[in-house]
Amino acid sequence: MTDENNRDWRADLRIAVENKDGPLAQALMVERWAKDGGPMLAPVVNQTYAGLGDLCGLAKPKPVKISILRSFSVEPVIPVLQAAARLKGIDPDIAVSDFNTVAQDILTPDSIAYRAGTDAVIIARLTRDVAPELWHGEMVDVQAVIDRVVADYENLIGQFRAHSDAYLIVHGLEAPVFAADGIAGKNSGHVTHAINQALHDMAENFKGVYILDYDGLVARHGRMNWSDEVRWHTMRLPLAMENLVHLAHEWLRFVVPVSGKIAKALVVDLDNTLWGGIVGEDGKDGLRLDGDYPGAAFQDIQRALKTLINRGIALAICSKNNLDDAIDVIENHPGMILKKDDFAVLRINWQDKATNIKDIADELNIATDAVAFLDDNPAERLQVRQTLPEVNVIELGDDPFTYAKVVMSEPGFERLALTGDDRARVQYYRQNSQRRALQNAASSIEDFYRSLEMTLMVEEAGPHLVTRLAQMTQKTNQFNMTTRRYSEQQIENFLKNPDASVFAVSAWDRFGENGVIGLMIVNITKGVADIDSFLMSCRVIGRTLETAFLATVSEILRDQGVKKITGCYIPTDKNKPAKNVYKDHGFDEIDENDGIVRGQLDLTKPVTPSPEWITVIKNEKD
Amino acid sequence: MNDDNTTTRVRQIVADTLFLTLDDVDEKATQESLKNWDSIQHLNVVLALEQAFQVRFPPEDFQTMNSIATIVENLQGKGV
Repeated sequence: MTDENNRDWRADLRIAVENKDGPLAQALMVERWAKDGGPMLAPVVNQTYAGLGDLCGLAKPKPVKISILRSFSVEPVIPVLQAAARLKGIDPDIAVSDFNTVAQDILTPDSIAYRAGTDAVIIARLTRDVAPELWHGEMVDVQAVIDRVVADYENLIGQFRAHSDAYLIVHGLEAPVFAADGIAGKNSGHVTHAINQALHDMAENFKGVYILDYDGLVARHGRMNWSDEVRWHTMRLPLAMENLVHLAHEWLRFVVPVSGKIAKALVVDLDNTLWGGIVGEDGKDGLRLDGDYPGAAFQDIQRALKTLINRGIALAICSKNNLDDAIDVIENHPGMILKKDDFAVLRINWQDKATNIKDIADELNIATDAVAFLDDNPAERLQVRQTLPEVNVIELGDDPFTYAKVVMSEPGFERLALTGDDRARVQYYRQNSQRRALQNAASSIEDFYRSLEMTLMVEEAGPHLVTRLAQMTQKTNQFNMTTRRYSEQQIENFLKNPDASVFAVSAWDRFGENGVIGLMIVNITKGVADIDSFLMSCRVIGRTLETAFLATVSEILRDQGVKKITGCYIPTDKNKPAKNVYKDHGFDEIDENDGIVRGQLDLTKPVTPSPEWITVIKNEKD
Repeated sequence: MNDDNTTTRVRQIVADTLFLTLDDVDEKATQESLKNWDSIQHLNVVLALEQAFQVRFPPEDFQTMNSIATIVENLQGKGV
């Protein structure tokens, strides 16, 4: 930074904290972090949040527990990660191993690798530790090195998986700055690339194991200036000071999806964000949006947004404009990469942006803390940060050519795995708008349900559904009876457990497929099925599908000899919509403690039947 | 930039890194006088100063940078 403005900024921050204005304090820190995130600012951010103990208008951060097994000094990165995570609404609890004790830690049941409640473990090792012969450019049998490194990791990962369900993030190897055989070699990194590829392939045999592309990280920020040899040799710190924040942000790309604090929708501005210029002033033909300078910057950002649709992130427009002007550009400008259908919701009006964002979240049936916002105008960003501090407002600089990179590096858009459901989700959102139109036209709610022509399929889940089911437990907040979050590994354990049954439910209607939209996990002992988890995706709430699902599962369980179903509702900030589900479906209340309501359903008596407007298909395990 | 300004900025950075207030860190403060300034925090202090002043401190400087005064002196030697 080296700035004179620092003192003004500090004064503003101090006043915001004294006034207990959490949203303003956070806004000041987010803006500053985008420019100067790193070791200087990290303690200021961490101290400020500590000072705002009672949150002062901010949402409670999501806790996440991480252990780092390492071969180098990560200590200076930790406060930077803490600050960056906190600015994204996450409160990490981080433990760090001794140096080079990865194997011991993984083999010792009481090591930090297995702290109770650990969400993720990061194995942070360097090429110089894992394959020093490669790092030092010795002539080696390349295949032997690949085999050794991959076998080592396969053994470690297998041991870890035998003891833990936590996510495991393994640093891949980084290529040496120069190739040992100079320009005569295939390319400077071909051996490390081969190892990384083999690690990737091996990791795919495990659930919840990911290879962090450390070489890509180094390359993005400049291999020549990535490391600091003096710091390495004096304190085992391999990163130059400038790069500490880059490693922290790379970890954050995993920490954010692990914590569940992901963006499900991105709300974008139009003028000077999706295209250059202001349509109301410059007119459609005066806008900058084509394949050359300067319009190419805006095609780049549109292409970046298009990739988000493939990750299942809904796009919405929020712009202060005349509706007809904006629609004319979206539909008819030859430079538009995004089409009108790529947007799930349009809010083009003269209302303030925070109000529009709330409406958009309501329309998409998601919480505002799952919304990200992209706008070139700092005043609009500030208004949203102050009014809706839980929204992920993305900080942009002055140069539109940087916008696409900012979007692509935003950790809120990361997913640990992409399922077919993610890729199709934006379609569901669009179909939902059509369903709403139909609902408005129908004369009664029953008529509306009938006109939807809904079909529901209940199946006992197989291995192909593990990723999707784990994802739903992590992301579903509203219609979720117990809000228990499970990793893929934990879901797999339920599938293997002979006393547990996992039911997945898919639905489709006249507008198309909804995909897998709910699950129920039950543990069966002595004729009693206890519901561990029962959730439905928010995009199908309000269509009576839960009634059909409960009726069908009851039938299947009764056929298996189950006499009684028990289940409980555990209240959270967000799952009010699930509160009366058991009561409404004939469950008798057993008791209530601290808001946790337990109920039971007698299967020897008739249960609430599936609504006549839903066709049900049962797909039981053979 | 004048000396006072550099001194205040160094005090602020040391205070931030050690979770203290500016008043806790006067211009006579030393590694001994500030309880949080241990060897682990020293690295964080050095890294924060490097970022703030866009300089780099070789290992030889680490031991002598043990007070506000010696840090300011070091920075002045680097043309800050």
